[in-house]
Formats: sequence, structure tokens, C-alpha cells
Amino acid sequence: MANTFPRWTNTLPLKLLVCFLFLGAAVAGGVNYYFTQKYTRVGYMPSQPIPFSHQIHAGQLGMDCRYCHSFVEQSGHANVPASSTCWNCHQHVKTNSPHIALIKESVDTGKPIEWVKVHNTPDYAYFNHSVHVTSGVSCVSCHGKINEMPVVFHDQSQSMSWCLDCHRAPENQLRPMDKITQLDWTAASAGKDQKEMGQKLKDAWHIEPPVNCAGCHR
Amino acid sequence: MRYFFFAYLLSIVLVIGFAGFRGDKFTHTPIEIFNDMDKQAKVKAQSSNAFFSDGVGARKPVAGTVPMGLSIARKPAADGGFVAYGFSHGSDYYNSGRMGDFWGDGFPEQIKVDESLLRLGQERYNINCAICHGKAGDGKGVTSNYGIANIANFHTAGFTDSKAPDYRANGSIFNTISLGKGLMSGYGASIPVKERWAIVAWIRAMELSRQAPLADPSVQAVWNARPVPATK
Repeated sequence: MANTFPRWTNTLPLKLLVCFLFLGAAVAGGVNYYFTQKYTRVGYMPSQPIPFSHQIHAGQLGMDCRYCHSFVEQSGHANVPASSTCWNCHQHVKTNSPHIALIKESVDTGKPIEWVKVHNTPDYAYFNHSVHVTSGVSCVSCHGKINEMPVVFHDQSQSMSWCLDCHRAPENQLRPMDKITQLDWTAASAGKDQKEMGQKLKDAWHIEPPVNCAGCHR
Repeated sequence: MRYFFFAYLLSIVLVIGFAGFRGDKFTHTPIEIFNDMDKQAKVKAQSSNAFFSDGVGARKPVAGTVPMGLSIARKPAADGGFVAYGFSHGSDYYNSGRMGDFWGDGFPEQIKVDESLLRLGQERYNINCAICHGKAGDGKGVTSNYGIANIANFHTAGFTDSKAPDYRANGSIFNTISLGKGLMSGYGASIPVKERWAIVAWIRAMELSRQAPLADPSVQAVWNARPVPATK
């Protein structure tokens, strides 16, 4: 009687097992690497209706973030400036640029410029800018070095675990209040140890970030 | 088995080829993997909204109304009603810089001039004003290099000498911050009333800093403590 199963089937289960292990590893690795905001959001660099350069305005010219984002210390929402804010200077500067013509049109008609939002919190998470910038968290902690970006891109993942990293250990980010909008400032550049300084500020200001669900989801 | 590993490696290369790496720059709308309730049908700050005919979600107050959340004085301005931290409304000195038909000088009674007010004024001045008027108030801010002409220098007689024909009183400076003057746009929409007065106080402090008499012992002490270049 001939063999029902040919000889090569002896190793088949083992081979199948190896294949599935490799496939499983690849899928797990792929999901781990790609199914996260570190991949889906970091690097998002939309083209804007006007190629406004933060590098020129906040970097070279040294404008304070709050000249344009004027209510970030009072409001949960960090406002995008009105066209009239651009107009304060650009009624005099670079007036023959076609981009400035768009600003002029917007100022004259009241029709807003449709800037593309880069950082987008899900609607069930309630992030408040004012409480962060008035508690010693710098713009650079969440947005990266905007003052070096000709076109703004998404720098940090801004995922929930990323939020919690700081809420559990705020001493890694806290800095003196007059350095909040100085994006190039670091504790090291001032000859200080970030952890030690952050811990002091945390104690002095009683910084106790919420780590319960209702802190952000309400 | 050989074919499996070949296909395996090929598909990994293909996935990486199409999907790229973390942190790569891209301009398309980000993929949302689990997007449950990420985007809810509610009006969000500064966003568009199809409900309104002009598509703008942020509405302006209807003429003659006061928006919710904007604090308003409980009493008329004439009876001392004022809002410590808000935007101008009212015709009293605190809110308008005017006393009757004239600019007022000095500070309104609602403002207590102390070091914390000066520090607030310094901070707000450096944010909003220094870009043109310079951190020292000399009109040599960074924009003076980019074609903005006739920037006011706060150390000229028109600011420092109350006898000068073009003297700007505190109320006049307050009004210029609020509504603008000449080539300067008004900043009333972005600087609350109290901060405008703090900026006026800081401008006066900068003026004084260049007129401080050396005979005054406290000025002498600061002068002596100034950094000087080493002689050797």
C-alpha cells in the first residue's frame, strides 16, 4: 500500500508554524509602528493658503508668539490671528506681494483666510491652552521649534500616552514663566538641571496635573 | 519555503516603500485609524460652519448686544463701575483715556501703579509694541529696518515734556493703543484695558530711565553697579 501522505508532508506543520510566526511578527510590528500618531500625525505639513513663515516672524524677527496668538493665556483655544493683525505691519511691509493682496482682501471684505489646522485634538478631549502656558509649560513642549519652521509641521505625536507622560512627570517640562515663549531656551542653556528646576517649580506652583479620565474627557 | 521568504521580504519592502517612516513630512490629510467621535457636530472655535450663510462659525455680536462671557460693569461708569480685566466699554477715564473733552493725564483710580503693574506693562510692551517701538522705546524696533517709517520715539519732547505743544498725555497714549493713530493700527482688540494702562506706565518708566538725575542716591547706586569693560 502506497503512503497516503507523501514524505514532504512530514515537515509541513513545522514549516507552516514558522510561516505563521513570521507573518504574525510582521503584522504585529507593522501595527505597532504604523497604527500610532507617531506615524499618522507627526510630519503632517499641510500647505496653507498663504505661505506664512514662522521661521521669519518668530525666529529672525524675534516676534513673541503672543503678538499674534494673543489670547493663549486667557483662552482654552489658542487663537489664529485676525487678518487685521497681519495688516498692522503689512499695510507698510511687502505691500506688492500677491499673498499680502489676499490679506488686504480679507481685511476689506471680512472674509477670513482659511488656514489649515495642523494640530487637532479629538472632540472628546478638552485641551486648554491657557492653563498650560500659565502653569509653566512652554509652546515648544507640544509644538516643537516653531521658530525654525518655514512651514509648520506636526512635531510631537500628541497622543493620549504622550499627554500622560507629562501629566505624570511635569517636572520634565516646567520652566520659568518668562521663558514660556522663548522656544530656544532650555534649562541646560541656562546652566540648570531640568529635573531639579522642574521639581522646584512644581512644588512652588503646586502643579498637580490631573491623571484621571475626567481631567480631559468630560 | 524559499518562495515564502521571498514574498515575505518583498511585501515588507513594499509596505515600507508605500507607507514610509515615522516623521516623514506629508501634506495630505492625516489618516485616522480609529476615528470614533473624533469629529463631532458642534461649533468649534474659529472653524467653519455650514449652518450660517457665510460659512463662518465664529459669529460677531448682534449690534447693541453684549456677548455671553464678557464681563460687564454692574454699575454705570459714572458710579465707579468698571471691569478690572476686560475690553473697553464706557466713556470714563479708565475706559476711554478722556476726561470730558480733554485727554486725561496721570492714572485712573482703578489702576494702582506698583512694581507688578510695571512688570506686566514691560511684558505686554515687549510682546505687542517692541517690534516697532523697540525694547528701549526709541522707535528702533526690528520693523524700522523693513520700511515702516515715522515710528514714535518715546524719548522725544512730545512724550516727556508736558509743556511741549504736541505732548501726549497718558489718556492720549491709552487712546492710541486702543484705536491706533496715523500709520499705527489700534490694538484694542487684542490688549485688555488694564494691560493698556500697564503699557502706558511702562512707557513712562522708560522715559524716566533716560532722565534720572545722577544726584539722586538711588540712581547713583544703579549707575555705580552698571557693568563696565575691564581696563586690563
